[in-house]
Amino acid sequence: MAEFKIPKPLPLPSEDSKPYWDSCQRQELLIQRCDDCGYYWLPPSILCPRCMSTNFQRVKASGKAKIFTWEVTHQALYPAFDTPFHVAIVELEEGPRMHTNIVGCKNEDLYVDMPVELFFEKVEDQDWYLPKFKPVES
Amino acid sequence: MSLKDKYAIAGVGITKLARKNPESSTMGFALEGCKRAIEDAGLTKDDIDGLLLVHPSQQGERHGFAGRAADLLGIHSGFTSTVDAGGATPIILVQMAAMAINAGICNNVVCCYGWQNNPIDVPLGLPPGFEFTLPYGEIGATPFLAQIARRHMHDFGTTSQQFGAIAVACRKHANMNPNAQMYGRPMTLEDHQNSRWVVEPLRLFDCCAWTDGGAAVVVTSAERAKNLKHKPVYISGFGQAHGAPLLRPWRRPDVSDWAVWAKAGDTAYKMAKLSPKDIDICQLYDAYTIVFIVQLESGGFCKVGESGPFVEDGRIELGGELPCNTAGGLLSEGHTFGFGHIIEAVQQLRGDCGERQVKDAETAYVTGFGGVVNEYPPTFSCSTMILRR
Repeated sequence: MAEFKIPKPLPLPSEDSKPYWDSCQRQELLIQRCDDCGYYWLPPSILCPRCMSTNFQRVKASGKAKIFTWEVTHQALYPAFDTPFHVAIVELEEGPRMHTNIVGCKNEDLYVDMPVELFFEKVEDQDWYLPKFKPVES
Repeated sequence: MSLKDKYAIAGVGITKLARKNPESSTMGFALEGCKRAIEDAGLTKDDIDGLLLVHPSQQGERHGFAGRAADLLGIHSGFTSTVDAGGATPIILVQMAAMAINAGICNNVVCCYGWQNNPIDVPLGLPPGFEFTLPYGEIGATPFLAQIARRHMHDFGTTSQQFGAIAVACRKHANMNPNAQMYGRPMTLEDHQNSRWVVEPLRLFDCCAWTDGGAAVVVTSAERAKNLKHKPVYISGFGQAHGAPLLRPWRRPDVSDWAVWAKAGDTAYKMAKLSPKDIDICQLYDAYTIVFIVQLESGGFCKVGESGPFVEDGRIELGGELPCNTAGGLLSEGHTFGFGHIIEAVQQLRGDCGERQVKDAETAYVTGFGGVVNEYPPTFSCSTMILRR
């Protein structure tokens, strides 16, 4: 009998976040930039969290980022991931921060300010791409 | 006009606290807490005309919790609501109670919570809104506080041993509190350092207990409180601050991202016309040791980044310079959403704490801290209150 495997959880987009997730499926990371004050933001929202303007563009992030902080989960609340695994918060070159995984790097080799770059990883057994990061090759 | 010292906490009640207690529901624990607090105040249910509760998210409850709780208590409430700010909620409830009485719409308000961690037949749901965290494996409070802990360690050199000093202080105090979940279970710094990682850099003993239970306090006017059973404990000041500084940095280069919650303390001190040096005891929210650290700095008891060395050498223990979390805190008394902190502050100021009584304690600084860690942006709320006898 095949071993039952808990599927990886996928995002459930809202009306506001759908353009973001749609762009990820095209393997582009779209962040929002305010036309009035120039602020870049995530998560997707209908207005600029700095000046409340509703005039904005969705622009492609450069993909350059650095690690702001990270944790290593040894005891997980949701059983779809093999422990220990890490989750990082990275800061994009444009400013916004986001949760992600750093692929191709051991947990113990992560460090604050580590330069990383964007790529898109297909979720195991599912038709869905997630924005993830990998160490910048020196 | 300032509300300083115009309102008071006149009654407190707390249920048995246990890792698992299938004898009661979320509602049941809330009702039991209310009954105890009303009786402690020397009031009857007919005196109560306001009821505020911590929103119990999924714990077997969804809609109409507040209205049904009022009906089940048999009170004719004129002011009832649930509030959803996680561990910041209990103090926010007390603030709302004082403001509602001041507005003239009610007289005696009960603020309470109930929590059953394992309600019958209620599965753990994965609602929409977890889209930016769960797909990467992050869920729950522990990972997010671990992210904050890592960054604090990086920015300021804070160590796991310093986190441990907080856990040890709380455990020591819990061992003088027979109602604490960890009563009779002493812990050393070595035990802390040997405890397993839950989410690195947080060890098992950096995390609070899971607790089934309930608690409540009664808020009334200073005038009425003077004629009740206990010496009144006056509400001298309070404040709040809300923000997501770790996900969305401040747009102000002159203010540290770590200082976002300082507004909660500053507002309370201003209202109470006091400063940190006037505070005799602290009850600081401590769902995790790192949360205690953030609260200590936000409260102005040390500078941002200096709390690691501050907590060493027993300074925060009974007998130390600034006794904190004298009932054991969330870490060792139990996860009461912070009601335990309010109740302990009241009992210390009444002088009712026996073995763990801080001699002549006149002022207490109490905090709550909570929010949302799975939905984006992950936002934390901090609530503060200064009490005096």
